[in-house]
Amino acid sequence: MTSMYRYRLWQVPAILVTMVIIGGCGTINFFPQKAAEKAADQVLDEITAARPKTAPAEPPPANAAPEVSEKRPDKSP
Amino acid sequence: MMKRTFLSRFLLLAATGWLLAGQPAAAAPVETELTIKSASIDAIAKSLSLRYSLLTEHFESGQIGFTHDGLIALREPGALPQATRAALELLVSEDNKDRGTMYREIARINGRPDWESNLRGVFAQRWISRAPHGWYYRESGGRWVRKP
Repeated sequence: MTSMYRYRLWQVPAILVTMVIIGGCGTINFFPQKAAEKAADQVLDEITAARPKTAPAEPPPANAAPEVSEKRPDKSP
Repeated sequence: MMKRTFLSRFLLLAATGWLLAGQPAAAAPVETELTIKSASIDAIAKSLSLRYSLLTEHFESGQIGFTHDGLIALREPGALPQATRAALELLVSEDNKDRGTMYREIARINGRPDWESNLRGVFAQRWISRAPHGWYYRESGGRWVRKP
């Protein structure tokens, strides 16, 4: 009976290790690495592409004649 | 008898373990696409883009660099004049707030909030590998490295 008892204790780590290995493989493979890299590159393109020196205002209307801004310019000619 | 008990228990428990831990992997589609399209991500990207233009010169001068978890950090805060340091610290902390929100948001809209740390790792790797020559990044061990 003693030998049976020891045998049973022995199973616990063996089973745990098997579960962790099998479960771990699945989890590691699951994250879509390539898709994430693609998504990251798209976001980084967006962030790094335009480098405006200041916050860009709305583009002025192309058809409108140059109009006086409602704000007083810092340095008027 | 003893052997059979062990074997059948082993198989039963291993199968349970597989079902519990391995099943989501089996159920997931092989080719997953990640979406980055959402109003909140657009807004954060715009905010990051504007700040990036302010931060570029500090990346170039080596005052700040990328970290291994997708954030940015001051390289040698002690070496900077007080005013510069305070201003830069503010920029960096605002930027990191945006970055953190962005990673969390991308994970969330893809239905996997638990992917946030994976995404941070991927973004960090992309930021660093896309950084120009001379820019700095900090390894997970804390060592700053200048890109050759």
